[in-house]
Amino acid sequence: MKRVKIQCNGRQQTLAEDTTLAELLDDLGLPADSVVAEINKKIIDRDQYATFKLSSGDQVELIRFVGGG
Amino acid sequence: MLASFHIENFSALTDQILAATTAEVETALNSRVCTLDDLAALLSPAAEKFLPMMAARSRELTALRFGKTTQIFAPLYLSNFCINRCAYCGFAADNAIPRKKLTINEVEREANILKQRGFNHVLLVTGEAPAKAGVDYLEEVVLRLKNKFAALSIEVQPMEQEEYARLFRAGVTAVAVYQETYDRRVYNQVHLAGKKCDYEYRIATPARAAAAGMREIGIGSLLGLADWRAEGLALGSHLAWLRKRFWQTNFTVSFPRLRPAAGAFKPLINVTEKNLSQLMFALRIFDPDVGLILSTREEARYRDGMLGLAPTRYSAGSCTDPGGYSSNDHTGEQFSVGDHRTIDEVCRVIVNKGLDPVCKDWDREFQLN
Amino acid sequence: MLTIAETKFSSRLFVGTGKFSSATVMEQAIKASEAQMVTVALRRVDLENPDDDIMTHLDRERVHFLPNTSGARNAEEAVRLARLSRAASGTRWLKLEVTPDPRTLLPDPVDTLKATELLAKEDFIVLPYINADPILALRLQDVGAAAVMPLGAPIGTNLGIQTALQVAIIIEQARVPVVVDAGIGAPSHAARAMEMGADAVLVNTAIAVAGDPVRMATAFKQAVLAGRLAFEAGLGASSTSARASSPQRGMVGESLHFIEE
Repeated sequence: MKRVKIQCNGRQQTLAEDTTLAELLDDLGLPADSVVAEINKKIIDRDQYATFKLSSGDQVELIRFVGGG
Repeated sequence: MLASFHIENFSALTDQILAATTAEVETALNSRVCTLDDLAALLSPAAEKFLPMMAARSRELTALRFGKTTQIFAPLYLSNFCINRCAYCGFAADNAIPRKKLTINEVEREANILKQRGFNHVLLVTGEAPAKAGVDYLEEVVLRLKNKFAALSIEVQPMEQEEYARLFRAGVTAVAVYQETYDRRVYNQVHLAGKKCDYEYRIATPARAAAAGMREIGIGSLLGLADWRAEGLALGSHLAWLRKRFWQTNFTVSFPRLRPAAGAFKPLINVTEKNLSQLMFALRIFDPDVGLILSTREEARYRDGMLGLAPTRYSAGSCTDPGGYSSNDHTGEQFSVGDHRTIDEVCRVIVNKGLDPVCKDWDREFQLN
Repeated sequence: MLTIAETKFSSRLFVGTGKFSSATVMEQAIKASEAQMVTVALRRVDLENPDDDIMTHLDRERVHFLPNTSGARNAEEAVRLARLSRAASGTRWLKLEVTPDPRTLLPDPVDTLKATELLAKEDFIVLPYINADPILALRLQDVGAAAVMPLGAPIGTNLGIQTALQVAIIIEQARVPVVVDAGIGAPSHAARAMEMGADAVLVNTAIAVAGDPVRMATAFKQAVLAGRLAFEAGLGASSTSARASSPQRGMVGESLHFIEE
């Protein structure tokens, strides 16, 4: 089976081919509505998470709110 | 679209001022910042017994902000044609006076005389007749004069923002446009015909000129038309309103006073020198940064006494008819002058009072249009 | 009532959510403060601790969210964070912070102005965090800032309103609300800012690191109310020299003999 290699929050990760963003979040235990995803510096709309397929070399940033002043 | 300034109810200003107590006057005199309510107290009858203290505070603030200086300028009347009929004005359209508009060469001749006398700041004045002395004419005048003087101001008919911008680019540094009175009822009563009847258009004019980029805007009331105390509060409100919106603009206030002796128009109310002094001290305490102009309508004795107390700018050696500096053949003048001394005589008094007469405060050469 | 960008707030205390010992304490402190505006920051999800989600501790029905751009060192980074925060929260509100110096965390005026102009054009409601510079405050208002947030003292110092003179000028000239931010280390500091006429204050460290953050939040709530009330009531003038509290008719003034009666 083919694999894709991505960078997620600075960490190397290998996924099965055709893994969607929604599936990645699910694997990481992150509710989709608690994070915003930026792939290759482009913000992905939440309603595209289920269809957005990750490709090799993608730089994924998963971001969410934390305490701050 | 620019937001506009309003005085909702002029007589309510009078009511507020008359209600001020001695304690409120003392508070206003001692506060670090002076609010509009404080200004109302300083303009009140209750403040009259504090006039020497107000003068002392006013002198202190004036010196702190402006130093020991008094600016000097001269008006240059370009034209006395006017389409308005203002009951109080010598240029009124139905007044049978010789009318004249200076040619560009005549303007230059007048300008050369002022320059020779040592003036470096000139206020160009016309009646309000755009067909005779419109923006094209003014632009031509300014382009001709701009290399002679450090600063050129205009006191002409209200214009559109674009027209002001054009004159700014030509070299005008400041615009004076006086509401005459903020009391709409009296305004309608004394402005009998002409474009000036439009109170709203006039009251919105300082904002248009400021939006066009002018360095300085002058506002003012003609004293003798409506309650001078309320005019003072209205001027303070207008000033504060303008400052909020046009923070890069300098502002000045003028208080031309109608004199019973001058001309056929009898002032609707009598404003004394004491009243005028209170008004100037109150505005100085309200706004330490505002330029205050004392007209040559006032007599030499009074002008000398006021030096350093509140005013920052004096006109001197003024002729108020077009061509008056170069010719003895006088045409109709706008108002009669109370202080006939030359610039040298006025400067001498200023120096004797320990102040420095300043003929040049800014050089339009630095202005990047 | 405090109004920013046409939104009304019944509380003039904004609370930051950083530095609390636990999310539960933060939640209780915010509740006690009665703040309606809370700031949050954006960070990469910590993939080792994916459950740590602040949003589950904040009731968005009751408090308004003000995401900040903390960590941004220039305008470009701030704009990126702003867009991310809008995508994450759906809010157009933004506390703009551009802090190139990691030691003092003082805001960069040039890039703050640049970013404010850009973000206001993108329809963000921008509340820039600035040094107490009156001209900068005016320039920011000219390019569309919805409020300005001058600092009282460098962030986290608890030094109070060291910039009082400048803040007073900003307040006097402002056409938008002025929120004093940073440096407020005690309820008395917050009260002072409010007495001066500030429209609101933002407090974080002083509540978060207090011995009892929940009670400190209550103290700040009361200080802000008291300060505002004093401002509205009109404070008497202060003076460095003694002044008699009864009128002094004999005070010396100018001689005005030249005036004709």
